[in-house]
Amino acid sequence: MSIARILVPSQAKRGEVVEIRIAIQHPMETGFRMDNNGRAIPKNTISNLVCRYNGAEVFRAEMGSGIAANPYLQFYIVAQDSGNVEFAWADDAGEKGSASSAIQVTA
Amino acid sequence: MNNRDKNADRRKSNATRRCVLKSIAGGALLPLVSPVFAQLPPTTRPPLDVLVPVLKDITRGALVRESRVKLEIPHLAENGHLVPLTVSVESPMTAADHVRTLYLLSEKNPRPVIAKIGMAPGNGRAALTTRIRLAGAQYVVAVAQMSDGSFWGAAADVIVTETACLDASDIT
Repeated sequence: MSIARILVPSQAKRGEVVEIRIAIQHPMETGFRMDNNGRAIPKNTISNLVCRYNGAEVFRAEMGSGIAANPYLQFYIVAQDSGNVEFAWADDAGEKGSASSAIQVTA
Repeated sequence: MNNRDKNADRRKSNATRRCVLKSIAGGALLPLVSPVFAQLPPTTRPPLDVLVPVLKDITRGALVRESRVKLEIPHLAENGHLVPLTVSVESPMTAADHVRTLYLLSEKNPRPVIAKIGMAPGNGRAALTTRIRLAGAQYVVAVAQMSDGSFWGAAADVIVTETACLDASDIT
């Protein structure tokens, strides 16, 4: 289970564009490195990350070896209704992770 | 090769880089895909050549226009392992007109597609900040596909002093 930190404002006005940030602890192994015995370390990146806001997909990222270790993403969503901003991701090794945060929307 | 030759070489490569920037500034940007670049003799062809097949795959031959995409990346990156980057696209982000997909491409990385980002009208603002790896000084290209199917792009020249660790010898 990978560790992630997400930042979603706890409160927002309806219609406001709010900033969402996520940082996941992950080596984002490129597949081009060798271990001490000269064997190639297989590529392992978070190839699939989805962000849903109240169940609807708002953001998706397919990240390859070009994304730095411990990937960080910052983007925006429009606050519509109170609810959850949920992240779910999976890496090439099949390890899955998720994180979620509540947002309170006022009129 | 003596020093003078080296300098001449360097000047030549600088000139090439300048040509690219000029053509980008002139709005001719990613017609990387356009036949304009293909007509140039190989020595004056911009280094973005490598990305042409990648872009063709993405755009299926459609023209990539400039001006709506803004790519913010340091011109000089000390460490290729971690280069901050912000892409923003001028778009109202409504159901009728929004950014559908955003591609980050690298000219010299062993895998040219850095990331493929899916966006939706629910974003409100089409902008993304992340941190990328770069294997050496190169161009970084951002291409956005809008909901109407049109493509918009921007390129930025980055000098990387310490390249991202790459053991693979297939990158020259």
